[in-house]
Amino acid sequence: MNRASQDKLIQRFRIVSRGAGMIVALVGGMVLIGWVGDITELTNILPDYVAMKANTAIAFLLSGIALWLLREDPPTTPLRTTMGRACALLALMLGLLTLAEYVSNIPLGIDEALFRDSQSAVQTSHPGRMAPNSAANFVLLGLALLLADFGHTRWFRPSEFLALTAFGIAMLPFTGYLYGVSSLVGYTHRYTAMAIHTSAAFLVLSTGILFMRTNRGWMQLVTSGGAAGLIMRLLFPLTVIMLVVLGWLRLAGEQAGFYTSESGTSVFVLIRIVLIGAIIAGVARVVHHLERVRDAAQEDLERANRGLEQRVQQRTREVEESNRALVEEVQHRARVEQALRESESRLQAILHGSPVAQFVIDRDHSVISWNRPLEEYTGIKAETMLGTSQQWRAFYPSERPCLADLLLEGEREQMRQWYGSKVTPSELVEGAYEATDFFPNLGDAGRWLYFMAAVIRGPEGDVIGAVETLRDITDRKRAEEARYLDEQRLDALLRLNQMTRASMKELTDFALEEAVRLTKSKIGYLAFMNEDESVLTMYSWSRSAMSQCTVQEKPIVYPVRDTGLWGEAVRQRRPVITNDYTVPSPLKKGFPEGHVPILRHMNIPVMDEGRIVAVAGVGNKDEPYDESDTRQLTLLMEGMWRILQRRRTEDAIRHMRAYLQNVVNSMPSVLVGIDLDGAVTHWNREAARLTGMEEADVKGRDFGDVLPQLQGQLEKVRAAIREGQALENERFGARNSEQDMRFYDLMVYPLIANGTQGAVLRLDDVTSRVQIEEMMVQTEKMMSVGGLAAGMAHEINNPLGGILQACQNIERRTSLDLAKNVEVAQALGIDLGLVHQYLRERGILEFVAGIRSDGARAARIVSDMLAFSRRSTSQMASVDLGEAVETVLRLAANDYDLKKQYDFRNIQIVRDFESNLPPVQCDKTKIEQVLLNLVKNAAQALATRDKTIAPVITVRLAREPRHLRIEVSDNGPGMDETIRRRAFEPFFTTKEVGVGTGLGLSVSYFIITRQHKGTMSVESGPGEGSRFIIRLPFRAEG
Amino acid sequence: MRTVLLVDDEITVRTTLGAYLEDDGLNVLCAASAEEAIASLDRGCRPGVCIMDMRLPGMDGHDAILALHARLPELHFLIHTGSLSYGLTDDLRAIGITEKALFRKPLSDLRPLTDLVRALLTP
Repeated sequence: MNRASQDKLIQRFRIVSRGAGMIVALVGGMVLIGWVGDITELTNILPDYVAMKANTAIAFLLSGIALWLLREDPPTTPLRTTMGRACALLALMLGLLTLAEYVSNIPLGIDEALFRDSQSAVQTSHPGRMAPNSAANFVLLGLALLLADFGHTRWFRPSEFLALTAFGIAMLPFTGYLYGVSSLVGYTHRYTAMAIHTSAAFLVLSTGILFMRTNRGWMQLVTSGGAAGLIMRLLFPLTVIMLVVLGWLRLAGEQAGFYTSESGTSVFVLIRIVLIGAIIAGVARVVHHLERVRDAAQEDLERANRGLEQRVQQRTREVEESNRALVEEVQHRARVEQALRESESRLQAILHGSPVAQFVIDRDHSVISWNRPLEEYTGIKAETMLGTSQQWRAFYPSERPCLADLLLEGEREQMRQWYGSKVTPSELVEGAYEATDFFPNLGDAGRWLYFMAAVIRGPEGDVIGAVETLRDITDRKRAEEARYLDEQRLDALLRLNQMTRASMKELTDFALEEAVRLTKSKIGYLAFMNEDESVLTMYSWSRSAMSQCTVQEKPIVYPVRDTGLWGEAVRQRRPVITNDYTVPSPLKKGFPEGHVPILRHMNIPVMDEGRIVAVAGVGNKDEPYDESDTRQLTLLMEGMWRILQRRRTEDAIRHMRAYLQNVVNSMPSVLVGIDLDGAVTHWNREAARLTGMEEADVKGRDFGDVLPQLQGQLEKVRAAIREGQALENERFGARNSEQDMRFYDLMVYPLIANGTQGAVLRLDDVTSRVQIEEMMVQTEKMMSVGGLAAGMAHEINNPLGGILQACQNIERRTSLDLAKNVEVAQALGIDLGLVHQYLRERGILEFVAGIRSDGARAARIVSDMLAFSRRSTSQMASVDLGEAVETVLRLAANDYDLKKQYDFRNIQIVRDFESNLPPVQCDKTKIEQVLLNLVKNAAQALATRDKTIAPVITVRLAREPRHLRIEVSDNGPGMDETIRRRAFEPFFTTKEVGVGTGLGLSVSYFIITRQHKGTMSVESGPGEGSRFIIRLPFRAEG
Repeated sequence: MRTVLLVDDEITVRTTLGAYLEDDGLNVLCAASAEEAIASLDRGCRPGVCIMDMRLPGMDGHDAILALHARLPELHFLIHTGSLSYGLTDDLRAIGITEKALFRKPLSDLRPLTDLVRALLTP
């Protein structure tokens, strides 16, 4: 049985145990409810059965709870254990007191403490008192619960025996009930009988207590995985059930009279023999099976052991084999060593007289030779060294073995330990070892030595000492290193030069990291100097410095006179090396808290034409800084500075070029550069906008070809370029591609700077300025008319009044209708009828009518003129211009003069209105007046044209961003330039005398521009018709 | 028949308008200045309507109306002016003069004016 299924089994026992506790507590509880509610079905089960007494029920409730509380193994909480044990103790006490009552026959008053038992209770010796065997069982099981975790030896567990005993005691009345044998139930007149559910509950409780702890006592056997466990789990319950069944069969058969007691006994003995025999056979079979399994396992084990043994023998043979080979090799070695020794003896002789520095030690590491070249290298005389073991003094600051010492001992591991990978077997001398290393203590600044050590053997081949030769390779090493650093630096500068897209900060950061790397430093910084060399501005720190530094709010700007040691490079204007930074110095001014600790430091001034432009520093190299480092740092930083300078110059040029380009492009003028031949060299944005051609399209072409506006000015421009004379503010008009007249100011500047020849053309479109100027003139004129009219009006109107009134009087006083006239005529003896006839026939009445009509016209002129001076008292309102146009066209169609003289009905009216036009803030009457005036003018113009072309008046309404555009155009004869320019001038008219006042258009212009803040213009040419354009703002401003 | 007081410094206006009113059967009293008009009232004249020119030598029409009104509150006023920019002032409105009574020179037809005069004289 494996671990998992055993765990599952134990788990099952635990579930049974917990279930038992709950069932028993439940039974106790139910019976107590029976007692409370007097329910016989709960207390007695059947009416003629004895009741479970109330105390029994309480004891069960307590025991059940105790089992449930104590079931955990090991106990989980002390409180739980204490409470469980308390419950068990109470149940025990209840049993013990009841037993005491039975024994002493003294009622202790506990029997009916809670419930009164019926006087007619069956099988009850004392009312309410539990059966004595029940009491004994509570004592036993209470003890079993208390002692659940108690047990001295592996097998002895009192709890188990107590539970089993209780099981047995309860079994007796239970079988009694089962078989229906009342004597078994145990009732006598002295003792109360055990109730059926009491006995059942005891069976469950004792089983639960047994299953509570499965890893101790006999229960560990029951739950064990082997055959024993199986037998216990299978046979124990089987045997009990079988025996109970057999007992019942026997009893039932006997009662039924199948056999007598004697014969029954023998029959059932036989049956038991058969059954037990069968069980024993079954057990034997199980045991047999298990034995076979075990035997098979044993056999496997033995086989495995045999295999192992064979392998051991094999290994032993192999080891012996290799031992033999080793012995042979050792012998061979000895021979080789012999040969070597001889060769070494020879070598030794050579070395003694060699110019190569060397020393020899004997077997005891004492120096026996210290030759002259070595004396020179180390500065230690042979006399002081010979006979001592102080050879290390020449090379190392503290005592340690030299290569020769290590070789003498033959400790290769030690060699690795002291020299690391620097030491290698010599390629020249067999058995010798060589190494290259730096000795900082030798000479002034340390020395690089190549050294080789070999053992020395005596004539017998035994090791008698070791020799070590040394060669100073410092110069070679230094040269190699310098060459390497030069290469690295040039490579860095090359890369720096290629970082064309990098920012200045990226360049300096890169240079600084390279400087740190080249000088084998840990940290570095770069500060720029101001113009007068008084202030340093920290610009870059190396990454490592940044990561180590914890100074809060690092200062950036350092006045040079406040700087400590690092400012010395500026003050002394040369590199400064401080190899032992810990030595106190009056130059140092200390660090802020959190500063990177500095052990060594070196910095340099970066010079540009004798001026210090920056300070670069590095620090914390493992070895002392030297000339080579200052050289590398200086060259790198000066290279970086040159690259930065070049970059700055380039940036400045690029910036200036972009700036100038921007200036030229942002000018609202057309600027065109041309060379002496007139070919375009520059072309600004405004030029591209005017012509629709980009610089690339026009470069190199003749300016006359790409600026059609300049046709007619070409000769003037060429002459100006030729003679180097500026041409200033030439104003001319030219039609654009839409045939609109545009006005331009042209300037030509010949270029006079060195090396550039040619000129710049500047062309400004001044059309709108010209138009504004024209309009200003008009307004001025009209304002003066208005002022004049205001002063004049009264003086004219009074005489006009007299004239008109006089005419009316003449007409009336010559008429026949007035009685007074007749009266006066009669008095004078005149026939008034004849007088009237005379006046009519001589046309006098017509003259008078003429005077009246001309007088009225003069009055109208005065009134119109006054319109210029009158302040706008008009009513501004939202007006639908479409509707206004329709009103005007209706008025025009009904106008007597138009109908009669200009045949308005024959004119085709075209309406071109944009849809959804917003209303316009304006004075409806005034605008209608303006429009009517324009339509009348158009009709009048159309009357004078060639009759073969159908006359058309087009009224167009269109939306502009902030204006409504009204166009009234006709296909009449149009105007020439002179007339067009004077169209809005007061009193200017092309009509016959008496047809127009010469004020219609100027009043309209006044209404639109002054009163509505709009614009009004006219486009026309001879034979092209005329187009009046009014632009009214959607919202009147101000 | 009631009297119309006609105040105008222009003699042609005075005579032609006076003639027209007389032809209409009205009694016309002419004055060439404000002062003359005031004097006529002081003499005891009691016109029903006054036609007043506004721009007069000496006292102007505006002050004249106020002066005449002070002397003869039941007198109705018509204004007949050559100034196109003239507008009624509030003190004149206060004594009952309305836009209807404002006539601008030159009048090519006098009928509307005489119609109003007659209407005002009719009790």
